[in-house]
Amino acid sequence: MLKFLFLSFLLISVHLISTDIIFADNPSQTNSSIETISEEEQINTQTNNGLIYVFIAFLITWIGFFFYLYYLSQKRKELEKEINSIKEKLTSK
Amino acid sequence: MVIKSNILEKIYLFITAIFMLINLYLIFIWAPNEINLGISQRIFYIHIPLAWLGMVSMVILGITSIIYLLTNHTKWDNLAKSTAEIGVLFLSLLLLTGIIWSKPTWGLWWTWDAKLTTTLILWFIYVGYLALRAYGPQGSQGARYGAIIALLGIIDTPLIYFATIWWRTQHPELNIGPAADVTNTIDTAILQVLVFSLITFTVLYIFLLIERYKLAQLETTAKETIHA
Repeated sequence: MLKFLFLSFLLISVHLISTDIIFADNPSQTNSSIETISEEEQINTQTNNGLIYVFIAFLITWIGFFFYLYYLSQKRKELEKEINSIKEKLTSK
Repeated sequence: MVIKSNILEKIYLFITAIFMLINLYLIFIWAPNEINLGISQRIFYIHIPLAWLGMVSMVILGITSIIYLLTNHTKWDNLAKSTAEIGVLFLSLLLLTGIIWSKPTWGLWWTWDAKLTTTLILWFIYVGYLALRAYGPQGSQGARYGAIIALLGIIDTPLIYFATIWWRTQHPELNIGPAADVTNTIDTAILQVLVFSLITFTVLYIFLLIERYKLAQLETTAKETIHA
């Protein structure tokens, strides 16, 4: 289930970033194009600039949740193992 | 009984996953672009639910800590510790998503704004609580000290919520909730997606809380078995 969720998220992410992204911090990419591009293209550029931040925010959030779920499942397995071994020791006595 | 519980758990996880996928579709495909903030406004669909649940978690922590002090039942202490752990996760993600949003919008990663600062204080309170419960005195004494820290968190929570009203801040004003300015109207589609996001993250929060609480109960069982 977790793997399916993570794969779905990755597919959506790849789809979203498949468009050309121009980074806001890179002047060589932005300054040279502003004079020549139309108003509509400028809006598109601004949208793409924000898109990378949106992508990072969602990626961090989802990684955070998956990591926490994984941590919980691992800890649960360890505890169940520990309880079973204690019970076995007690019954053997 | 255990098998039935596992099936219910899987069904709940499946429902949570469905909610999450629908939420992603609504955020990235269905919701319109906000006219002033552009695409970066979409971060709000996760940022606001994280803030809401981070604060709710602190209220639950305070209430369960007080109930534990009154009843001395371990289950309440386990619930308090569980909600604190999930609260710190939500609040950490809230701070991170806020930092990522502020860079393209304000041009800086962090500012000592009233709302941001009070949120950071709440994060420290959560971390302090968890550190105290992990390394401080154990048993009822640790729970008592923890309850005092939780009360500090409860005091800080309304400060975060009302920060934009009480102080002049850079942070966007309240648009939803009981204290929201009625003149600040937001687009119906944006509001609908935001409400759905709130429901989705609440469903996820409940799932995580149930899982963490079960784990805490299991830890108690293990300790009791060892002592027996």
